[in-house]
Amino acid sequence: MDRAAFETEALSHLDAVYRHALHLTHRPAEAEEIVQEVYSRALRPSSVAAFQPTGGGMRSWLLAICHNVFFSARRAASRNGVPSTAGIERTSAEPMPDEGPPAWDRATMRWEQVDTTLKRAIEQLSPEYREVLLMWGVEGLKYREIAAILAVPIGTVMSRLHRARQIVAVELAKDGFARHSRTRGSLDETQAKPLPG
Amino acid sequence: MAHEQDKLNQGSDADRAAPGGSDAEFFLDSRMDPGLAALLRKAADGELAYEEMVALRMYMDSNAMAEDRVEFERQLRAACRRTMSEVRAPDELRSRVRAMVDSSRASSVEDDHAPSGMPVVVRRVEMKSVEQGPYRYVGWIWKVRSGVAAAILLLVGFAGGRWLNDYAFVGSKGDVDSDRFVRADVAGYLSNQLATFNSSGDGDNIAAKVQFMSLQRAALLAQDWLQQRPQIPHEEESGVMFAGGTQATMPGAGRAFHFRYRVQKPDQPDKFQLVSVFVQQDRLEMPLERDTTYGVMGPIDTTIWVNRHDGLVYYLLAESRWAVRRTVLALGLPEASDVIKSMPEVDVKAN
Repeated sequence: MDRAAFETEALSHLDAVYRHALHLTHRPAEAEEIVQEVYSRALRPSSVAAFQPTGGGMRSWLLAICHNVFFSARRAASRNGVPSTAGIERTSAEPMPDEGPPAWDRATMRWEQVDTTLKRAIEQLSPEYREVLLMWGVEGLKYREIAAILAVPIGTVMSRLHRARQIVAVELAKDGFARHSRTRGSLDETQAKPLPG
Repeated sequence: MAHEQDKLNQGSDADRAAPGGSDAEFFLDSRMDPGLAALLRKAADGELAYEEMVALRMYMDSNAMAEDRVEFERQLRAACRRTMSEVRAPDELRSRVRAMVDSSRASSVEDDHAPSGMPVVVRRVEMKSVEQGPYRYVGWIWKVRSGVAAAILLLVGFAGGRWLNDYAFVGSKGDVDSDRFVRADVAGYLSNQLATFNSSGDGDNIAAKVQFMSLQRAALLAQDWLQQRPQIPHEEESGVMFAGGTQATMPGAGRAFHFRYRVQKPDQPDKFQLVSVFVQQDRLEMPLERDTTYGVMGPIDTTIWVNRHDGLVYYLLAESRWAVRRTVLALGLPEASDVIKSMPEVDVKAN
């Protein structure tokens, strides 16, 4: 890819990178700093030369840099004893690991009204869960792409996403958006039932 | 059934385009039956065999909860996209990043190493204002690194400037032996060529003397030797473009070629300067250190940059030093780039 095409495509993902940084930090100023650092790294001649438009493409590549910038800075800050509260709040609604998600009757779920509650529930997630959920939900990335961005096994992505959905589902249920819910036991059939044949 | 196959085999492109994504991926989670998870992953990747698709369809049809869950995750994904994708980068940030892109394009040839060389970006938020954020320390680190780099450059520049002034520049003032590094006849020939080139602006006069030809035609005439033509792997990106070549008659023995390059001005991409590169077989007649670029004052007050590398001697002529610098870097003359980059802004004509 020549440099002009590289620059054009990199700029076309600016909103996605900023959105990702903002979701990680919750602070616009800090998100802007991260975005600038992301593009600063991405535009190095060595980065441009080494970039290969494979896998998840440039958006995934930029999001991976964004992820690394944020978590590297956070690790460095914690090493230096700087308290950073950005995005590390954990919701008290987070279920225990073995707890299954609530069940839904898709015919009666009021999805058109959930926006405010959903937004709040997502913002209350820890950055690890929020990041995975938003890459899946907002950016439309696939599991393997998310795994590549985070440099974790695909099973970790599945686990985090599963947990994030659980937490969000619980929050939505608490606000009464599910008019009818089944028992947890019936949902668990999804995991327990063997494949035919 | 073909419709079902298509539905289950939706690929990643469709998934990315549609907020809902493919059915299959919604299922994947760590608590799932491994066999089912494997099937669904294959479906998400569009690799599901017909028998596997049938098995999966049967499973979904026989399990109402699975259908509910698919629907839940589809709706959740759509809701996430609806509620969270409205965030857009502020215009101010967009402008700054665009400026970074423009700036990095100009410096892409000159710096391929450290963050300290990256474009200077005016940051809207001062480090102090970031409460407890980790980036207030990053700023200090950058400042210290930039300070150290500047001090090193000053020292190297001072030393390099003294060395170059004492030994490298030969001039027409008569107080320096003009044969010391470049034979006077070579320097005279080259600087006369440049003078002609300068007087005509676009090189018409020099074109009358030496017929410029395309690379292909030149290659036919001197195919064996032209294989040693200075290669620029990414001409467009480096801003240095081959503009023609011809055989050249150079003082002394040995074959020589004259190559011409159009060099983009860093801050004005639409402006070009022509650089002449004379390449002569190295007959080891001049006491030039290998892989070092020398600035040589020609008899008619023209700077000639000379580099010995890999069996060849390169003479570069241009109106501006930045054009020479870009060309040298683009040609990949290794050590020469370091010498030039660390040179101080010495007015060679005044020395």
